[in-house]
This record gives sequence, C-alpha cells and structure tokens, in this order.
Amino acid sequence: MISRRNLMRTAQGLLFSLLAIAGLGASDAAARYDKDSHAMMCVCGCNELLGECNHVGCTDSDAMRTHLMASIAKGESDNAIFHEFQDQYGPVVLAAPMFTRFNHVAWVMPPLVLFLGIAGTLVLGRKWKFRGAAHPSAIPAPDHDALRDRIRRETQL
Amino acid sequence: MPEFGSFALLLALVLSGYTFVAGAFALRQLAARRSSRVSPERLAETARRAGIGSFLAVSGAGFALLYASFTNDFSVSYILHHANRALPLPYKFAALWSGQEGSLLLWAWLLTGYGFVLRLRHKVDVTLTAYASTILAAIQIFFLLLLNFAAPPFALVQGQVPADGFGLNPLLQYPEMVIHPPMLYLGYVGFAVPFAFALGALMMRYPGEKWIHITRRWTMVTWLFLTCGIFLGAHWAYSVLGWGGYWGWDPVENASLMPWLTGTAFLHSVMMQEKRGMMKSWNVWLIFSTFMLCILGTDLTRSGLVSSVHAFAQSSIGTWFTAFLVIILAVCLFTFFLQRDHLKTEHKLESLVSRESSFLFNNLVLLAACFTILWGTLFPVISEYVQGNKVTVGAPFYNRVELPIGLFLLLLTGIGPLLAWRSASLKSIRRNFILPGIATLATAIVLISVGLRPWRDQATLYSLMAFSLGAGVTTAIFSEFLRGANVIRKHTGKNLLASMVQLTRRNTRRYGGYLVHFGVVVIFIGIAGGAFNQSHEQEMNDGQSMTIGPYRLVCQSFTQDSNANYDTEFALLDVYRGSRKIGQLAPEKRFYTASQQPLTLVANHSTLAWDLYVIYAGKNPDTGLPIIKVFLNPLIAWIWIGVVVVALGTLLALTPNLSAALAQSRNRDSAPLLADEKQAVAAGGGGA
Repeated sequence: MISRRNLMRTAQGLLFSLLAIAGLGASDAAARYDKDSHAMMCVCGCNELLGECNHVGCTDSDAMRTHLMASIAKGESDNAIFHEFQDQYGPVVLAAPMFTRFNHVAWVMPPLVLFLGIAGTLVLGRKWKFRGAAHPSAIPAPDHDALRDRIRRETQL
Repeated sequence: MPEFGSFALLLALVLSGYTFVAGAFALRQLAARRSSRVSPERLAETARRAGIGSFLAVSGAGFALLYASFTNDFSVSYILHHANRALPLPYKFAALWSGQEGSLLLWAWLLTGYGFVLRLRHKVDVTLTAYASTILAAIQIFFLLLLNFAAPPFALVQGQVPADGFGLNPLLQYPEMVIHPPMLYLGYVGFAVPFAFALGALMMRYPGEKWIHITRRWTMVTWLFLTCGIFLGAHWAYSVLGWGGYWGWDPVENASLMPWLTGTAFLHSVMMQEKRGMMKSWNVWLIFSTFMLCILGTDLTRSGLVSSVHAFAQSSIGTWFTAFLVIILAVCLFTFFLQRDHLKTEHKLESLVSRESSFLFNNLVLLAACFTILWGTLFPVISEYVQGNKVTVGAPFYNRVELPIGLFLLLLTGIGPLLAWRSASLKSIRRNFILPGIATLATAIVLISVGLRPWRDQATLYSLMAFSLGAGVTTAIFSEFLRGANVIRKHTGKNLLASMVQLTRRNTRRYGGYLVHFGVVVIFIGIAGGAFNQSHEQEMNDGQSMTIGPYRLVCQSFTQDSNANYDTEFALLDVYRGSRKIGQLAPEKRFYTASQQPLTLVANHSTLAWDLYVIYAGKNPDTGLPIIKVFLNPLIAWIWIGVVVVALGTLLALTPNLSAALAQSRNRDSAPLLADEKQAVAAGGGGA
C-alpha cells in the first residue's frame, strides 16, 4: 500500500526528473521553483515559507509544492501561478503583497517616508543654516556650554 | 505558597500605588513651594522607600512561583500548564517566563528591580530621581494591576489537581531559552528608566542635559541587553526551528527590533544635545517612542491583532495594553506641549557636511527602518480593514525594502565618524575619505574579478555592496584609531599598540563606539553570506552518502531512544572534507511526552567560512529511512562574532575615561554641581 506522502514524493521526484531532462529549460525551472516557493507561504499555519516548510506531518506543503512544480512544467508565468494559488488558498498564501490596487501602498510607503525624511532634513538644514547666519541664537550658549562641560566631567564616572 | 504569592503581588500594588500618589503629591508641593503639615521632602522619602519595598514584594511573588515550579505544585494553574515532573531543573526555572502570566511577572519584577536601583541611587539628583521614581511607579501599577486582576499567575486549578503537568513547550527546552527571554525583557523594561527620566526632566523643566548624562549608562546597558536578547533569539531560531535561517521577520521578532532601532537612534542623537544643545525635542520623542514601541510590541503579540508563531493566545489583556499605550501617548503629548518652550535648541545646524548632519541622517534611516517594520507588521490589519482580506507581509517584503535601508545605514556608519563637528572642510573630507573610498572600490573590483556577479541577481548585488562598504567602514575605523595613536606615539615615544590602548582609555566612549561600529560591519558580513546558501535533501540508509559544497556526509546509523521527558530519533553522520574525516554530527528529532509536541535539534558544524547545518527532517513511513536536509550557510559565524564585538564595544564605552577619573579626583574638593544647577533653575524660572 503506497501512502499519500510517498505518492507525493514520487510525483515530485518524477516532475523534477522531467524538468531535469527538459534540456535548456531545466536549470530555469529549478531556479523558478526555488524563487516561487520562497515567494509563497505554507498554509498549514506554521508561518514558514513554502520552500522552507520542513516539519513532519505537514498536511499542505507537499501538495502545494507538487502543484507549483506542475504549474512551472506547464510553462505558466509567475504571475499566473501566484494568481492561481491566491484563488485556491486566499491572499495570505503570498509571502508579500502583489503589486495590485491597495497593495501598492505597502510597497510605496517605506521608500516614500525615507525620501520625504531626507528631503525634509535637507530643507530644514538649509533653513537652519541661513537663519543661523542671519540671527545668531538668542540663548547665551557659551554659559550653557560651560555648564554642559562641567556636567559631563562630573557625571563621567 | 500560592497564597503568599498572591498576597505579595497585592502588597506590591499597594506599595506602588503609595509611591505614585505620595511621590506625585510631594513633587507637586515642592513645585508650588507650598508648605504643609508633612514636609514634601519627608513625604517623597516615604514614597521612595515604598518603591523599594515594592521590589521586595514582587521578588517574593517571583520566589513563590519558582517554588511552586520546583516543587511541582500543580494546584497552581500556571505551573500545571507550563511544567511537569520530568522537566529538567533549568527549564523549571525557565517556566517562569514561558507563559503569559509568568512573563508579566518577570516584567514587573525587572521593572521594580530597575526602580530599586534607581531609588537606591537617588542622591545623584534627588528631585529628578523622585520624578523618575514616581513615573516608574505609575508603570509598575499598570503591570501589577494586570497581575492582580487580568492575568494572575497564582490562579488555582478548579476541581481535582492532575498528578502531572502538561509540560513546557518543547521549543523552549533549549539552553538559550533560559537566558534569551530575561535578556530581551531586561532590554524592553530597561527603556522605562530613560523614559521616566526624560518625562520627569520635561515635567520639572530640568535645566541642562544632566538627565542625559545620568541616563546614558542606563540607556547603553539597556540597549546592550536588548541587542544580546535579539541575537540570542536569532541564534535560538537558527539552532531549534530548523529551517536554515535565523531571522524570519515574524511579528515578535519585529516587535523586538523596533525599539532597538529607535533606541540606537537615541544613543546617537543625544550626542548632539550633549555637545551642541541641539535636537532636544527630537531626543525626548525618540526615548518616548522607544518605550512606547516596547509596549506596542507587547500589545501586538498578546492582543492577537497580528498572527505569529511566538504570539501568546488572544486574550483580553491586549485591551489593557492598548489603553496603557493611549495613556502614555496622551501624557507625553500633554507634557510636551505644555513644556515645549523649554526644549528650544541652543545651536542650529551650520553645515550639511558635518557630524551633526550625519547624525540627523543616521536617525532618519534608523527611523525609516523602524517605520518599515511597523508598517509591514500592521499592513495585514490595514489591508483587512480597507480591502476586506488579510495579506501576508513576510520575509520577501522585508528583504526587499529593509536591505537597501540597512546598506545605507552601513554607509553612514563609515561616513559619520569621519566628519567634523559643526562643519567639515573639503581638505579634511579629502584626507579622511580617500583611504576608505579606495578600500571600498578595491574590494568591489576584487570580488567581481574572483567571480561575484552582482548583475545576476539582487542578493548577490546586495552582498557585494555589503562586503565593499564593510571594507570601507573598517578602513575608516582603523585609520581613525591609527591617526590618534600616531599622535600619542609621537608625543610619548610609546609603541603603536600601547598608544592605541592609551588613546582608547582617554576616550572610551568614542573608541568603544567605533568598536561597536566594527561589530556592526562584522554582522553585515555574516548576513551578506546568506546570498550564497546551498541546501540539499535526501533519504539516507546506513552507509549512504550525500555531498554539499566541500563536504561529504556518510550515514553511519540511525536509531531511537527515550527518557521520561521525551522520545528521540537521530542519525549519526560522519562528515568528510575530501578524504579526511572531520567529525560526526547527530541531527535529532524529539517528541515530548507531556506536551505531545515535536522538536528539531539541528546538528551544526560551524567554521569561520560556513556552517554545515544538518536537520533530521523525519522518517519516511514507507521506507523507514531518515530524511536528512543539509544547508551550507556561508559566513554565519561572523554574525555571532559581530555581536560579541558589539557587546565588547558597548562595555568599553561604559567604562570611565582615564582623563575623567583624574578630573574627578581633582574636582572632588570643588563646589558641588547642585549649587550651579540651583542658580540655573532660579535664573530660568524652572520648577522644583
């Protein structure tokens, strides 16, 4: 009696063998499998990437990997594969949001915040520089500097 | 014992309540210069002593829980759920922080412990410490309310008490788990101290930057604990979870990294306030944010808002944390707007090419990294709200967004220390940057010429950048050391090594900081190695072999064993490099009896060049053969070495300067600083 797990492993092995003898495309397919399996999550709840899910008794990862290899063998594009998986398992199957509608916001915000921060710092720096030159600080800085130096000395140890 | 523990917690709550109320009343009296029947100084002193007492009371509760764990008192629900008779002693100790109630008790214990030290050292500045102590007492009250009413660790089992406990989560039965959580908590909780000082200093319109000097060591020690805690966690994940990596961008990992990033930004930007009286508001908000991120992280993982492999089960406790966070934010905002005129900067930025501006950019990049993590952690929730469906924001997102930010930060690590305060001249820039620039370019050229192809994929490009920038930053750091040492050598005639030691002792903070930067470079080198990971999986029978990189693994045998705590399966693999046997590895899979959960124990042959990381993935039920998965992870050891360098650098920065020690002995007879401060307060119209 062949178990389901063994059947899956045999199927995966066969698919890999087919891919391996497919000539020029072989290395591409293996690389795509590696890339795509690291762009999706295992849906068993282990919170691991599909390509890294290794725990015994996982009820989902074998089937998902076989599905992925079959899709690559059929020549489907990465995008089509991701949509197919998304339809089957829901959006949580993708390890990062796709570039669609509201998901763009996820990708745009971090660089936008960094860019705005850098721009703001440059503007503020220039403003300070010119204001500093026109109006020297009203606070008697030398006195505070002396106090600051003394505090530093006395709290050094 | 459970009754004693419950009583101790209630007593701690009462004492903390008194510390807060009496402390606040006394400080109010002092600020308003009002007189009453009991002098405010005496009232403040009773509050301080009650605060010290709260630590003793929480220690009593902690002892009671440990006693229950060591004596297998399964009538205590927490012990029933997190320990069992066969659990080894160190893990019975670790059971204290393996569940929600116990970890909250650890929070409270560490918080009152920090408060204990602060209250004992109150003479450093009595009034400011009284403010900080009162604020800490308010935080203590929150945690003690939780422990007394929302998550009591001494709740008793209803009905018949089982003969044995359900055991500790197997993932936590690993030596590092005995020290990783306390380290991390020491970091989280420790940020409450600089937070309390900053808020206290703002409330009392404290003159000058002495509060920063007082809290500098607190902040650095706390930062060091958090750093060690984070990397111990990474090492634990690497050794136990068995997926070949050490950082999965899990929400709990993210929660620990966010305050670390803002804390790092704070450690840098306070130097601008100390040296130039700049960035006062910014610094206050950085430390406020750091503490609030510590609470937010705890909130995120305990409220069930985001899913995580580490997260405690969803409970009503999340609401408490959210409410606490809102209160902290409200208090900080209110105090800031009330006292913001006190935070006026004394100097302006004079040039964009200066040490100050490099600190500004460093802060900006650290905060951008922090924002990215917060954004990625919360985006699934935002997406669910906007689009109606949850999305996953996992490693691919963070690797794509955080890695460029990290590399930018590495670049600034090299640039910042080479720029002069106020304004750097073109001549000094040329002199300081020429060597690091050459080192960066030369490393890139050499790496490309030996076969690194950055145009092939993003990971290789980032690795090349990390190696090249690492070389540049290292050159910058060592040229700084050499330049200073050469000056001392010329003046004293000592050899170069002795001159470097003297140079370091003269300014431990500066050169300790450089050592920390070097440690960061080493960590980046280790991370960059990840672009060249290899892996292979195979079923192995006796005598069968598999090859990965320069290694050949031969299966000698596979067997199983059992003891009272767990059943185990493992394979014995001889490792060969060429024809030479270099050792034997025994990857293992355990199945814990009490908790009915499995655990992978990775076998790792670690060298400076790479780790041969072997996992026993399980047995094929049909063939009965073990499935062995092998990873070849280059340069991983450098991450852990880098952390040790960072820790040594921080410890060096914490030691007193040679000149400071001499200056202090000279100053002993001079008038105390407090007199100057009082004058400054009177002149500035400050509060108490």
